[in-house]
Amino acid sequence: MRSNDRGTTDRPPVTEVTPLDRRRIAWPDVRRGGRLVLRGHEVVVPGSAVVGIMGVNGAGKSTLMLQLAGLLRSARPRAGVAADAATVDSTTAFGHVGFAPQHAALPAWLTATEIARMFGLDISDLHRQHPAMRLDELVDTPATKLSVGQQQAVSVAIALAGDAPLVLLDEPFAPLDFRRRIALTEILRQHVAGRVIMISTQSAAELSAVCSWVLVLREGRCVFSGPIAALTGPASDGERAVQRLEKRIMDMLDSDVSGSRIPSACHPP
Amino acid sequence: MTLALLFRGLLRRELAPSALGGMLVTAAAAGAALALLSVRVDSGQGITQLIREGDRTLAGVFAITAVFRIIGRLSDDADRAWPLQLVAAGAARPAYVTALTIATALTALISYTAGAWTFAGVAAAAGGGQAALVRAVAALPLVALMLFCAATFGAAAFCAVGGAAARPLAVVVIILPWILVAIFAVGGDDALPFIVVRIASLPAPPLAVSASVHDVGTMMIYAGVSFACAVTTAERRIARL
Repeated sequence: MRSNDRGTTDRPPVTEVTPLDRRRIAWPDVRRGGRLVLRGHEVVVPGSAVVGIMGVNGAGKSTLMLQLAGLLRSARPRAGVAADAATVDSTTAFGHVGFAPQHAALPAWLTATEIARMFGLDISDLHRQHPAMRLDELVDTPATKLSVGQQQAVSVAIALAGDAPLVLLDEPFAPLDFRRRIALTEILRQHVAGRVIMISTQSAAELSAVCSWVLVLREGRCVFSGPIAALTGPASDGERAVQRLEKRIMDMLDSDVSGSRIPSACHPP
Repeated sequence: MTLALLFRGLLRRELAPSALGGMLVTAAAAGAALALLSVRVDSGQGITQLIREGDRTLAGVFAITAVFRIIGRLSDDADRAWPLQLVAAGAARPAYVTALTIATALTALISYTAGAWTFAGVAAAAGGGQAALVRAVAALPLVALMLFCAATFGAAAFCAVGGAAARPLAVVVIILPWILVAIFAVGGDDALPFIVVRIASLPAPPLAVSASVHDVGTMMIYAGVSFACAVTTAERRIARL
C-alpha cells in the first residue's frame, strides 16, 4: 500500500458498493508450523453477498475460513468484519459466525434432531426454512448412520440458521447429492439479505451460479477480490460465462501475482 | 449456546450403550471377582485390604479411569468439526469443558455404583456380611466428589499442557502416588510417617476417598483449583487449530 501526495492511502476503488452497504473483512498473517500459509489482507465486499473463494488445493481457503471463524490459535482477536471501512475489532462487531467445516463430522451418538437442539435450533424449523434440503428424512437418524453428504446438509443448514452476519461454508457443495446441490444453490441465492456468506469452492460453475463476489487466493495471498461480473463480463450467458470465469481465474493462478491486470479490491491491511 | 444444551448432548454421548455398556459390564465383573476374593482373605492390610474393601478400590480405579477418559475425549473432540462449528456458533469453550467434566464424572459414578454394589451384593451372598453394602451406600457422596475431582484434574491437565503431555502428567501425578502408597501400605501403616503418605496422596484424588471426612475439604480445594485451571486454559486448547 502506498501513500499519495495528499497523505492518504492509495487503495483500489470499490465503486460497486455504497459506503453504507459494505463490509470490510480483514485477516492477519497466519503461520502454521512456522510457515506462512495465509498472508494478511483486507477486502471490502457488499453488505449482502455470497462471496466465493477460489484457489488451488493448499491456497489457504480453509485456513481463511478458520481464521475468520476465530478458530485458529493466531485468531485473537477474531478477524475483522466491520459494517463500514473503519477499523473495528470484529469481536465487538458480532458475537458469532455461522460456520460449516469442510468435512462435517457430527457427534456420532446424536440424531439430527438432537444435534440441531445442541445448537439451540429446532430441526423442524430448519426443515421449514429449507424444505428442499430434505432434513425431515434425517430427523431420527443417528449421525453414525448419516452419509457424509447428509451430515453436510445438516451442518450447512445449522450454519445458515440464525442471524449471524457472516456465514462461512467450506466447500459446502462437495459431498452433497444432486438434489441437495440444487437446493443449496437456491438457498444461497435467496438467503443473503444483510449478511455475507462466504463459500469456498473448486467449481467455476458453482461460483457462477451463486456468487456475486469473488475472492481468489494464490499461495496464501489474496490476488483478487471483486464482483464476479468483472471476470465473466456483463452478460452472464451460461456456459460461456463459466468458461470465461475459469479462464480468468486460471490466468490469475498461473501468472505472476503482480502481473495481473485485473483490478482488485484486495490489499494488505 | 447454554451449558444445559451442551451438557445434555455430551451426557447422552457418555451414556450411549456403546460407550457405557462395556464399562458397566467390566465394573460388575470386577466387583464380583473382588467380592469372591474378599471372602477368602483374612488380612486387612496392603493388597488384601484393597481386595477386602473392593468397593473403595473400584472407586479409585474409576477415578483414574475418569482422568484418562476425559483426556481421551478432549483429545478426540478438541479439533473435530462439530466442536469447531459449536464454538463458531457462540458456544463458550469453558462451557464445553464444564459440561464434559460433569458428564464424565457422572458416567464414572454410574460405573462405580454398578461395580461397588455388585461387590457388596456378591460379598453378602458369599457370607461376607452387609458391611460392604453399608460402606458403598455411605461413601456415595464422597465418591461422587472424588470422581468430579478426577474429571476436573483430567480436564485441567489437558487444557493446561495439551493432549500429548496430559497423559504422562496424569501418570506421574495420579498413578505413581497410588503405587507409592500401596507399596508402603503393604509394609503396614506404621512403615511410613502418616504425613508422608498424606503428602504423597494429595496430588492423587483417588487416594483421598480411602481416608476420612477431612478429605472432603482437600478434594473440594483440589477440584476448585483444577476446575479454575481447566476453564481458564480451555480457550487455547478447545476448538483452536
